[in-house]
Amino acid sequence: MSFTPEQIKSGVLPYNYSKFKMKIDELQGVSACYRDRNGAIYHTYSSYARGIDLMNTTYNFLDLTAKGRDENPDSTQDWVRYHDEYKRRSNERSANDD
Amino acid sequence: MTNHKTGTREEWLKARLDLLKAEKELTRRSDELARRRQELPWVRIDKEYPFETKEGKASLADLFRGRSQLLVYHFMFGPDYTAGCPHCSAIADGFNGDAVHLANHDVMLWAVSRAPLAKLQAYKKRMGWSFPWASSLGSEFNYDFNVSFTEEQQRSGNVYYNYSKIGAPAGPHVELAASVGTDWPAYIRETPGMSAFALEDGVVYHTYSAYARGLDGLWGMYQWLDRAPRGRNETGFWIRRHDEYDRGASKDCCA
Repeated sequence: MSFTPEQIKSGVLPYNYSKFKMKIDELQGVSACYRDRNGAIYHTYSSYARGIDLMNTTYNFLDLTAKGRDENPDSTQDWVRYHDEYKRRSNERSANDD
Repeated sequence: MTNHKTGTREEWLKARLDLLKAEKELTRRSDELARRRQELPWVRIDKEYPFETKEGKASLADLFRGRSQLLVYHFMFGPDYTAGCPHCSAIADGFNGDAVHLANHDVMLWAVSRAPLAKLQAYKKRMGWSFPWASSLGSEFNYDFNVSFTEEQQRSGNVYYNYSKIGAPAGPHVELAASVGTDWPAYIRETPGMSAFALEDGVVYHTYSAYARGLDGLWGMYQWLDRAPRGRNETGFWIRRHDEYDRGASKDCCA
């Protein structure tokens, strides 16, 4: 979801059914809609923040490991890169076969 | 008009906030479960499990590829199958993108199946996947981790799955078996699961395994369906391999 210039300027942003002091232009979320036979559209559901953890299946895999998410609590996901930006470490072989 | 209950934005928000409270409780409980998984005792693995991989023969320790943690998805692809299980394939469509992130966070994710390596590689190419996939054919790996069963086990009903004796699984699902080119008994000699391992000081430990609905969280598609207006909305065998859906019906979705 996105915030207006006025909201960003105020420094208090509506998110996850609450308000937060933060400086950011965009944040992640999920919305669901339904379209009936006559073409009428209904909004049914929206979720934000940790409400979409379960769609991040990488986390669902990590939650089954011995070390868990193993993240810096003050900066979660600081280890995540775009998939083509991970540097291959010299002592490790590729994650992929190809 | 829809026959479903409708409401004003205010009514919706009130109901949504109630649900949000329950969702947050689930998130906290899920965090707690993940913490408890990490507290499980580790079981040292001394048995040799030979695998065939693209790089040749490999041991369980080799599959870690320099990481300290290994996740194995027990992909249903028996020696007699002509193609991988369509449900496992749908799960793999999702985790194919996760593997590189996990590999850069000290976790190697592999698929392991009993079909010979050439079959696995041909199918992987067809599906366009890049995660590593090993054959455990000739190894006791699948049997020891309770994801494959012998004909003798099937005859005697001595089949343990998901930590309980299941005897004969529900079925037969002829259509599902036909989708992998086998009959039902051959299809169900393989079952889905995942196992986690740790490597420390050259010793491999088994830390965790999950089966059946214990794998739901790994199936990203279901997490999305659970938030759709009609939920999973399942009435039968609807999942196909991603290249087998009717082209006319899917041409406008996912170019």
